[in-house]
Amino acid sequence: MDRKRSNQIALISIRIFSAVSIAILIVILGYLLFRGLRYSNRKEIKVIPIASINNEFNVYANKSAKLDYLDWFTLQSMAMGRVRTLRTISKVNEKFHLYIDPRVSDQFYSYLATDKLDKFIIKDSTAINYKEDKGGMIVLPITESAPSGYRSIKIYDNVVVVNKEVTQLLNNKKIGAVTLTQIEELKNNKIDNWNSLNGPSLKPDFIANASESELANNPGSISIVKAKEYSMMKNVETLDVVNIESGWNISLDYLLSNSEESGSFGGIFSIIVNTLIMIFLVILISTPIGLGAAVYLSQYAKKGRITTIIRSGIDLLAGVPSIIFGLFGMLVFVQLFGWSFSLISGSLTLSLMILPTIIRTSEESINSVDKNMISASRGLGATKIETIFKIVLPAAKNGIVTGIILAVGRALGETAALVFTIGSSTDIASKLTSSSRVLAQHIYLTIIEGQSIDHAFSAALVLIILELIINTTAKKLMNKGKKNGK
Amino acid sequence: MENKLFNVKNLSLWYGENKALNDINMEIEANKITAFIGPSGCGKSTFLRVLNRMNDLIDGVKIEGAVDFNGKDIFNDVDIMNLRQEIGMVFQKANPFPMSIYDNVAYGPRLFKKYKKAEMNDIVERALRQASLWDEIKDRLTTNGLALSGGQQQRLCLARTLATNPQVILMDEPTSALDPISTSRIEELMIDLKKDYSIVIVTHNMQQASRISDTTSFFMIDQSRCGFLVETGDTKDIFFKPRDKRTEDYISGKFG
Ligand SMILES: Nc1ncnc2c1ncn2[C@@H]1O[C@H](COP(=O)(O)OP(=O)(O)O)[C@@H](O)[C@H]1O
Ligand SMILES: [Mg+2]
Repeated sequence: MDRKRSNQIALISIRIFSAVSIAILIVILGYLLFRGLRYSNRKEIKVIPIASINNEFNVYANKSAKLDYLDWFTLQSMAMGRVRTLRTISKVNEKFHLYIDPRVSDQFYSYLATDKLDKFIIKDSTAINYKEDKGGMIVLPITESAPSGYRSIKIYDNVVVVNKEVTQLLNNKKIGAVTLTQIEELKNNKIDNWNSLNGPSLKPDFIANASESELANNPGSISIVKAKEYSMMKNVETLDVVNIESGWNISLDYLLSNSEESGSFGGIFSIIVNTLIMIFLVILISTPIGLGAAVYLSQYAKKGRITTIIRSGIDLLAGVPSIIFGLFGMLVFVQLFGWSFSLISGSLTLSLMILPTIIRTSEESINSVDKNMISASRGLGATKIETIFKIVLPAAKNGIVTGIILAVGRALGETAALVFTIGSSTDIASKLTSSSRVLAQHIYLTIIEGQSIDHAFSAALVLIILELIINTTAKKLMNKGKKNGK
Repeated sequence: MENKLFNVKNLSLWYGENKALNDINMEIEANKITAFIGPSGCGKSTFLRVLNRMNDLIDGVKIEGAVDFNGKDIFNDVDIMNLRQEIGMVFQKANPFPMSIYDNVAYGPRLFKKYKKAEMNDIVERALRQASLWDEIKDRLTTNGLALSGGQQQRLCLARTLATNPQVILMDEPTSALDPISTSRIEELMIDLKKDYSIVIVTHNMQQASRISDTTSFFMIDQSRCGFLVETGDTKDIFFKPRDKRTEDYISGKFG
């Protein structure tokens, strides 16, 4: 009876633990996949993120400018010539150009409540090659259709304005940004007191199309007005609005374009290329050395004190934290050899780091080669070295390759050993001695330098996929090795 | 001196500190099948490995005495790689290389000379025919040697040895892992091959020794677990009228 009971309990706990760990894995992978593929940022903006209808002109932006919307205030700065690049408003690092059709220039500048700037107004709309202009933005009459390569962008121009008292700082509390739902509730008088939004203890009073004086004289009053009207009000305050921006993090474009400005802009192509070059170098350096050592240790070294010491030294090195290899690499390759922070310094450091693993796994698979096969080869008159090259290494190949692949997988995800050795340039390395950034390093640096969490996540996704490819190849080889190895 | 293939004089062998063979004297004749029998651990395999110097591969082996092969001292007067080509070996456990059947057979010849493709094809075919494997596998020479059945693998190993065109084939219990049908095929083969080759076989199987061999050597082990040769003679004599009491006991014990 007792036994049955305890068996049941054991079984249930095993199920629970496995369910928990599977759930954790799914959550982690799912989250990484999600964050890697999609970005979703909470931004506080000055306008309500709902497009307003304009029946005089349309604004179009070049598709590569990656602009979805503009708020009235930004558009105004653009039209006044204060914005020179797209980098602060979109993820693109392009020079910004504005082309305004003469038929709507008056309406456009009047909408923005500012003086005309002739340099943006084009003489002849057909004379300009819009397509080439990645930072291009065109203002056309509503009757014209979108130029090819361009898309219409939404203009947000509704501002939430409130009486100044609403935004006062009281007891270290100040009203923050409001969401669209909260705006709806305020409109329908469903919120009794501003203090439920961290504001002062006042009753919200929504006035449709309020004038400046109405707002200024009514404590707790709120209204929604056009940005143009707001720009002429003095004695009112605005409330920021929460805008959730989301979109694709990874696109073909992102994968295929080079990184710019330390990864704040542009894609990830140069970093992927650097990673592949580094992996290639690491394999090129560590394989012959590791394999040579493994062959020597397993086939030639006399069993004795010295071999034992060498073996335990290798085991010890395999367990040394990578940061220590990084330090060694910095002292030796970067400083002593004078190769500075460079591809070669980093690759050598990583090669050293994975060498013990390669030696041990290769030695193991060499040792597991059927001794009978070796005897057969020697019995046919082959020398020792012939036997090693013709029989032992081919038979141990799968195990050796698997070991190398797993070690390289470790090198691929390594940052600590690279921090002091490989540098951080986002350009494709042109020389062995150029500073270069690789994927794992890129994740670390974009976070440390505070550039973009989205970019870190998309790099992470690419890295995970690379690791996945490597692991599945290794597994396939291992299975093949099992079939052949009997 | 005529017809004496091997002449073993006062041979003793040590594995490190342990003496495994004590003062062995023996002559082995050409174009005969010589069988080594005796209780396990008495050094039959060890002695067989002396003949093509495979013991050199084992650390700590020390040998005293002399072995002449065709009148030449194998420890001093011959190149070890050529010796092993002249004296091929088939092992207890079939051990084809993990490569195609063709490459398995071509492995030995390729070590010593670059052959033209047609020449090599001939060598491979001849060896496989001699091992009576050709008809079974001639259409799949490119398949992996490991894909063959146990008996076929052992014949492949024999073909591989024959391909280097040796004078002698040493066989260490070549059929002990095989079923009776595969065993009898290999036994038939050995009798066929006797015309062109000298064969030395270690066997546990008394019937096998009596069936196929011309000469039998009986080895034993002494109190210090060291192997020695009791007697060598015509197989018929050894099995039916052994001179030595110990041989008689062993053989009757096995039969009885
Ligand atoms: N590689 C080796 N290293 C050390 N001792 C060995 C080795 N091979 C065989 N021996 C020893 O030599 C003796 C003879 O072995 P072996 O020649 O295999 O006998 P048999 O083939 O007659 O059964 C045994 O005591 C065995 O333990
Ligand atoms: Mg044996």
